[in-house]
Amino acid sequence: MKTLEREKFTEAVHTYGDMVYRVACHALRNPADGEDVMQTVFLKLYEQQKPFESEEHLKHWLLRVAVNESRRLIRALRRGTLVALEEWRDAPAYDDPEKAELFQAVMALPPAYRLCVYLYYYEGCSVQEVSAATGVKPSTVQTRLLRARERLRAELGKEKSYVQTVP
Amino acid sequence: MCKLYRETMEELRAPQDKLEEIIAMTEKNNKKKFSVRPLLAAAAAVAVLTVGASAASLDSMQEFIYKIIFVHEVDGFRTDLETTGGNVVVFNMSEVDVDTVDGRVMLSVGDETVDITDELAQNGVYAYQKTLEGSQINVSVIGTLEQYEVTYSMDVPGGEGPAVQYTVGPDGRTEPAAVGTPSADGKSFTSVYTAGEDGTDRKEMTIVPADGK
Repeated sequence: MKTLEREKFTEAVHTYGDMVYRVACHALRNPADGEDVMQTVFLKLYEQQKPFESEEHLKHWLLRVAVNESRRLIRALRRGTLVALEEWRDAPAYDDPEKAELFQAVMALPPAYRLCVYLYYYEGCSVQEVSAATGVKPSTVQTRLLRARERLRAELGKEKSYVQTVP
Repeated sequence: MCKLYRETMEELRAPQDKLEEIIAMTEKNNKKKFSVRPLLAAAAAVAVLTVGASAASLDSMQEFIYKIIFVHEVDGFRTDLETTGGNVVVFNMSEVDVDTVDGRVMLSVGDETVDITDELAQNGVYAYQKTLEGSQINVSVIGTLEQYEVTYSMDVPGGEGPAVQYTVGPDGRTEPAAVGTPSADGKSFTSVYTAGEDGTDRKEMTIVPADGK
């Protein structure tokens, strides 16, 4: 591999490592599996022969591969070949209780909702781009975003609404 | 909430040592030696495999312990391993899945997803075949939308590898079971064989996880 290409690969790992890791964690809800998927995704990037047209092309390619590799692992977990960790271990230690609560609420959403939420609200993807990354119709993406927002509002608003009803 | 969500996820970072590990692996020689776990996780294998090999008779079983030296992912379904016991070809059977999602019967083969609902409802059967450079995947789904039997196999192109079968119905799905060439102990169904120089030499083996489950 030429030095320049290696430099580009190294740059991609540093630039998009967190992004790929977050996609995998949103899909799998397990940091160890997130690391495995991240490694697999960058292995595929390392072996990728076709050049990317632009930085955006590279980014969306990584998103799509991260989603697909996460799904493969989910299928393996579903078959019982791997033990799924039910709890989120080694979660970031949030000093802010609001952030900690939001993190748990997001991770309690169904995987399909979590992915759409992350890609749309954090990565700033359009509905079309989320659709391309996840392989579902744009209308399905919008439905999932809507339902995710409803669930999060209901979950996070529980205690506040209780407080509000107390005279 | 959007701003709070972004701030919250900003603190979810990939471990720096893992990123450096990925980069370091590619800076070594050009051989693609990566951690075994990501490539084999879906095949329910571990770094040290206990392999039960069938000899001339199913009654005589000999166990080997192989250590994996080198991993080469041929395609999304087949991984070739260089081990202390010789070259081994592993097919990732978990890359195929048929299940009912939101009332639709969906066939997944690697990254490809096919909605087979209408054809299954109309004909009572759906057949699929995919041939790549190193693999051939055959899938058949027989039954109704409420209950159907899935049979699929993976092998080299033109091969007739052992098949796996399970049923999806109102009570959920049954455990996958080997059909055609059952193993002596009846519990292992991953098809593995040693490859000769031209890839045609074949010895049926089964792989069980090292813990024997």
